[in-house]
Amino acid sequence: MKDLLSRAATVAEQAELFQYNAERQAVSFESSKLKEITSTEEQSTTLRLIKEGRLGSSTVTKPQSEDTLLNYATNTLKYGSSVSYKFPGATQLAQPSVYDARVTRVTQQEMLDMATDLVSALHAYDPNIKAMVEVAKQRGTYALANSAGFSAVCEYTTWLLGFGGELVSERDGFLFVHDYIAGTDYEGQTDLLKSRVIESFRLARSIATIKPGQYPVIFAPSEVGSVVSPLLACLNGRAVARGFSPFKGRLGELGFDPRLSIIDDATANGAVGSKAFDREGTPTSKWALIERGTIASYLLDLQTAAELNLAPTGNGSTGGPVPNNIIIPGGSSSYDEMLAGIDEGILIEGSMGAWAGNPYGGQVSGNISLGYKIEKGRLVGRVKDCMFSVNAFTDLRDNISALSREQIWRGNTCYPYLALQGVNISAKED
Amino acid sequence: MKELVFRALEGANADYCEIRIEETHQTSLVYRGRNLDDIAQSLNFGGNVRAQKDGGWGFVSFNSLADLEQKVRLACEQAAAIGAVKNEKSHMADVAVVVQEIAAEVLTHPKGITLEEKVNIFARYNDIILGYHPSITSSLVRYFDRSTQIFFANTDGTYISQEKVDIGCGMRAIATRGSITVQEGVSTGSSNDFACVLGKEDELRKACQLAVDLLAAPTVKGGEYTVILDPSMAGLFVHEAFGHLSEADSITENEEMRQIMTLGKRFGGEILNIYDTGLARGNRGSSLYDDEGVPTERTDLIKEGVLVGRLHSRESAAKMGEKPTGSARALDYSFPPIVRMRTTCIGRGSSSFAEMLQDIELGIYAVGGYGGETNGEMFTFTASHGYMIRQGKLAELVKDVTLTGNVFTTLANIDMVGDDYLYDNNAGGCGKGSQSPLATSEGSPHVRVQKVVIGGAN
Repeated sequence: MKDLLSRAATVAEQAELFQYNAERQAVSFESSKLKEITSTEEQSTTLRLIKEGRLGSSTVTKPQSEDTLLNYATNTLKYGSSVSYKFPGATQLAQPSVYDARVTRVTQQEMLDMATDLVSALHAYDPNIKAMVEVAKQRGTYALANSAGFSAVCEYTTWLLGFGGELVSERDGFLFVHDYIAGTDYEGQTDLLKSRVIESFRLARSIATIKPGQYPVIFAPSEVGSVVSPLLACLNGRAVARGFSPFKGRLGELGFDPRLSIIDDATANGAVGSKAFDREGTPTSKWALIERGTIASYLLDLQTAAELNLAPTGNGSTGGPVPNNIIIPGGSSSYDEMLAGIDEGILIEGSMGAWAGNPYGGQVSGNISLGYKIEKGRLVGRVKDCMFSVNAFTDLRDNISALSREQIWRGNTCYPYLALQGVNISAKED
Repeated sequence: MKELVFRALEGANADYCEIRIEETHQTSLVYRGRNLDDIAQSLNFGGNVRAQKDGGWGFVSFNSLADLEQKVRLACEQAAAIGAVKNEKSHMADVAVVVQEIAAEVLTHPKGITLEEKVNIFARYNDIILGYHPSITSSLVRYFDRSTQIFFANTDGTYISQEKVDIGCGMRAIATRGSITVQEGVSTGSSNDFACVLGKEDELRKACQLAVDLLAAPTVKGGEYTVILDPSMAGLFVHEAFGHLSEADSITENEEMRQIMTLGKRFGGEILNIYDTGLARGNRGSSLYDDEGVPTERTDLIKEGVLVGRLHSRESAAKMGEKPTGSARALDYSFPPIVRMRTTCIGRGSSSFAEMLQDIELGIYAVGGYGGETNGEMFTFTASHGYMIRQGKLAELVKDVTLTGNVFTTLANIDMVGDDYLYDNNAGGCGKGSQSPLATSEGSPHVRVQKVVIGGAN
C-alpha cells in the first residue's frame, strides 16, 4: 500500500488508496427447495489522485494491476472534478463493534440447518407456501491510507437471514412476504424472523376491500423508508450543493412535525452501517439530520462540505455522501394504541414502485403490495389493487398523527411505526 | 485461456460444470450542475465456477485465477452437499456444443473515442441544459461505456470467447421554483455504437422546455382512467407487467404459477403480440450467446392474445420439457446466470394515435417511462409526465403520474395498439434478483389501456 502511494505521489499532489477484500458464503432455498451454496471472494483497489485542484480516480479488481490503476487514475486527472479540499490526516478513531468472530465460525452445515428450520416452520403453518431463505455470512477488511498520513484498517463481519415465501391461488392471487435480519453480530435465533413472516401470512389470509379516498394510514417500520426517502435524497449534500434540493439554504428551519427527528448514527454497535471512519477518512459520529422537525444538517462528504463551507459529516463514499445508519426515534404511543385509534384505515407493510418518483418533489406513490385494512382498531384482511400517495414534504409536516414507541432495526435503518392522516388511496372504482 | 479453463474443468466431479471469466474496462463520468463530479476509468476482472450435482448448485466467484482447479473442486463440493439433500436428477437441456471466438461487431467502438472527446461531448450537453432557462437550476448528466471480454467454457465442451459492449447516457434538466423541483430528460444507449449518444441537442432542448413547463403543471388527480401509453411507457409496461412473468425460473417449481402460465391460455385481445429477442443488434441486452453459451433468439411470448412461449435457461427448459431460449444472463462474474429479458417488444398494431384519442372523454396520455416494479400479479410504474385527455384531445400537462394495476386484467384491457414504433434503449436496466442494473431494452408502439388506476389525490 505504501509503495503504491509513494508512486502515486510522483504524479499528483495528493493521493488516497482504498483496498477492500471480503469472503462471503451463502445457502439458499427457493420454492421451498434447497437451491445452492455460493462462495464469493472479492477484492478491489481504488486510487484517487488530486493535482492542480482536480480529482482523478480508478478502481481495479485484478490482482497485480497497479500500473493500470495508476495509468487510469492519471488519465482522468486532467478532466476530473474541481476540488478545493485536502485529504484528512491521521486522527483518533472510536471503533464501533462491527466484528463478531462467531460469524466466521458458523459452519456450512449450521447454515443449512438454520435455513431448513425456517422452511419447516413456514410449512408447518401452511405447506402450500413456497418458502425462500437466504442465510449468509461475510468477513471482510478495508484499509484506507492517504498522502496526508491517514492510515486505518477495519475488519468486519456481516450476518444475514432473509426469509419469506409466496402463495399463489386462483382466488386470492399472489401473496409475497419477505423479511430479513442483517447485522455485524451473529444472530442464530431465527424465532423472531419466523414469527414476523408467519404473522404477515396469517394477517393476509382474508381479503378486504377498500374504496378510493383519504384514510389514516400506519406505515410499518418496513415501509417507513419509502415515506422518508425524499427527505434523505434532499438532505444529501450533493443535492444541496448542486441545487437539486429544496432544502438548500434552509438549515435551522422548522420544516416538519416537531415529533419527527432523523438521526444518522455510525456508532451503533452491531449495525451494518457502523464504521469508525468513512470512505475518505473522515471520522464518523452520531448526529441529527432532522431534529424535532428542524432541518439540522446535511449528509456531507469532503467535496460537498467544501462547496457548502461546512464540516464533513463522515458520510463519504465512492459515489458522494451516503447515510450510515438512519434512525427515527420513537414517539409516545404504542403500536397497539395507534391501531386502536383508527376506525377505518390501512396498515402498510410493503409497497412496489414507491422509489420511482421524483424525490426532489416529495411525491411518493406506491402500489400496496402488503397491506391490511383496519376496521375499528383491528386488522381485518389484506387490501389489494390499490395505491397510496403521499407528499413527504407536506405530510410529514402537517399530517403525522403518531410515532410508535416500538422501533425495528432492518439493515442500516431503525424505524418506528408512523401514522399519517388523510393519505390518498387510489383503487378500482367497481 | 482456453487451455487454462478446460484443464481446470477436468477436475470437475459434477453432472455439469462451467467457468466464466470476464475482463471489463469501463469509463464513466457524471456532471451535476457545473461540476464534472465523477470521472473514472476502471478495470473489473473476475470469474466464477458453477457446478450442478444431483440437482444442487454450487457457485464460487473470485478475482484471481490462481488455484482455479481448487475453485472448481469447491463449487463441485458445494453442489454435492446440496445434491445429497435433494437427491434429484440434474436438469440441463441439451444444446449444441459451440467452440467459437467472436469479435464484437461494433459500428463505433467507445474505446476509439478519447476521454477528452467524451468529456467535451457531455460538457456541451450540460451547457445546453444549464443555459436553457433561468428556472433550470441544475443538471444531471451521466455517461458510461463498458467493453467486456467474456470467456466461457463448460464440461459439455463448449468454449466461447466474445466481447460485449454497453454504452449509455442519461441527461436530466432539473428545474426549481420555490419548493417545487421537477426533472425531465433524455436517456439512450446501445450495444454496438457510440454514435447513439451524438446528436441529442434538439431532444435535450425539448426536455428542458418540458422541465420548465412541469413547474407549473398540476399533480395528476388519482382515479381510474383510460390511458394511452407512449412507446417508452408501453415498453416499461411490457417489461414489468408481463416480461417478468415470462421468465420460467419463477414457474418451474410452482404448480400454481404453471397453471396460470399454461401455454395456449388467452391473455389479451387478438391485437396483442409480445416477444423478447436477443437478436435486435445494437439494442442494449442483445448478444450472440447468453451466459450459458446458448445462442440467443427471438422468442414469441404472446401471439394474437394467446400465451405461446416463455424465457428459459437450460435448467428451466429441461424442467419444463421446453427449448432453451438463450435467456440465462448474469450481471457480471460475481453472479450466476438467471432467466432475464433482452429486448422485450409489443408487436406493431394498426391504430393511429388520433384514433386512440378520439373517443376518450377523460383520460391520460402517459409519457416517458421513469421506473417500475412488479410482484408478478401487480405492477406499478411511473411516467416522467403526462397530459390529460379531454373530449378526444390532448389537454393540460400533469406531473407525478404513477400507474398501478393487475397484470392480467390490464393485458386484457389493452384495446388499441399503435401503428408506430420505437425502441427504448434508456441507460437504466433491470433489477431482478439483486443483479442490477442489467442492460435490457424495449420496443413498442403507442398502446391504449382501459381502466388503469392512477395514484394521487382523489
